[in-house]
Amino acid sequence: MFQGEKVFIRPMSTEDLPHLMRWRNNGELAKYIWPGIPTPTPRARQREWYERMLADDSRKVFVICETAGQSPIGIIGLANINTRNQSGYLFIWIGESIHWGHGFGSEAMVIFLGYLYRILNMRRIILEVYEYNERAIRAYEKVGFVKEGKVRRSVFKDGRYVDEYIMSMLKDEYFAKYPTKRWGEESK
Amino acid sequence: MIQGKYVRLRAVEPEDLPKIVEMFNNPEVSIPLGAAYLGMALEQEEQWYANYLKGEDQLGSLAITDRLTGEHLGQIGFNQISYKNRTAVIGLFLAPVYWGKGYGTDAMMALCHFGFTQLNLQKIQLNVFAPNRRGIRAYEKCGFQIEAVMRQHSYVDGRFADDLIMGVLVEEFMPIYGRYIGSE
Repeated sequence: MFQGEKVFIRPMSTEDLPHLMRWRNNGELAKYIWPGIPTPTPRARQREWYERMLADDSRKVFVICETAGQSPIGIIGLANINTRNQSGYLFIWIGESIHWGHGFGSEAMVIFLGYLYRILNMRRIILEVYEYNERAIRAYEKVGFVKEGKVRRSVFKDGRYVDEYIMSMLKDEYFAKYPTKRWGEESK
Repeated sequence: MIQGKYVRLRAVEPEDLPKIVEMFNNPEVSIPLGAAYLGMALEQEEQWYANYLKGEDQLGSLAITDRLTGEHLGQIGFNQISYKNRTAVIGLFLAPVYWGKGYGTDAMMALCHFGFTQLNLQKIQLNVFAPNRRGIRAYEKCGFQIEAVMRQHSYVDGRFADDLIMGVLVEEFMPIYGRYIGSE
């Protein structure tokens, strides 16, 4: 669907569901996602979730694959899409820690944001991240997100309340940072 | 069987669906179509196919194939047929590897000819984004003229683009088709 250098993004199929469950219940990723506690889920419920997702215009989920090997390494998507405000909440998981720190997630975000701003006409993309997820915050800032505020003690996680940052990136900021030729434009 | 010089138009079979989904998920193919199908999962296309089979006819979506090799090149169809007005809206797409070889023009010629001579249409219409100069050139070859410009009607790849309505009448098309078929 969208080809980058290290990764590409494609639609999700039912065959991806076991990967999702494995990642979600994997201790390392679970620390950074919501709800994150291992949540046993029967296959029928997973399928139901998938079919609801396909039919739901307010959210989209796609699979991130490594270009080398073509194998799925994570997901990226947009939730709570508000078409009047042209906004939505971005989420991204890179499932296994061996794939962290290679720039896979950053590249996937830049590609996916292009889809959101250029194709879907989104204007404001928001994300929420736990205060202690410093690696992710650095990556989001590199991509172009800015911290807008700290939501104090917003989530109960691993036996304590944790703070969350709200970050966002606007369409104008994206186009300024990642200029490209638009479809149908003559090269000058 | 609907045939052009180079292409044959046939009904969609289940084994075509992965190829169609692959084309839809290519931004180069999907952006000129309005990008509504970009990001489509095979499961969604399978649901579409179940409805396609229930339709009275399958003219809404036909596979464009190479007459010699049978290769599946793209899709074409009449989106809305009005037998009262004797009009239809046509649309097509091809996988990028088959662009610039005359397949699109040939498929348009074949389906328009079928529409005028078999379905008794008197006019065929289409929509195209103004930046799609390749498409407009091909449609003009088939006799289509720009009838209306819907200004800044569609958000296309990061900016608003004009949406053109083009149309061709049966009496305009038939001589063009005759010259096209007569030439080698």
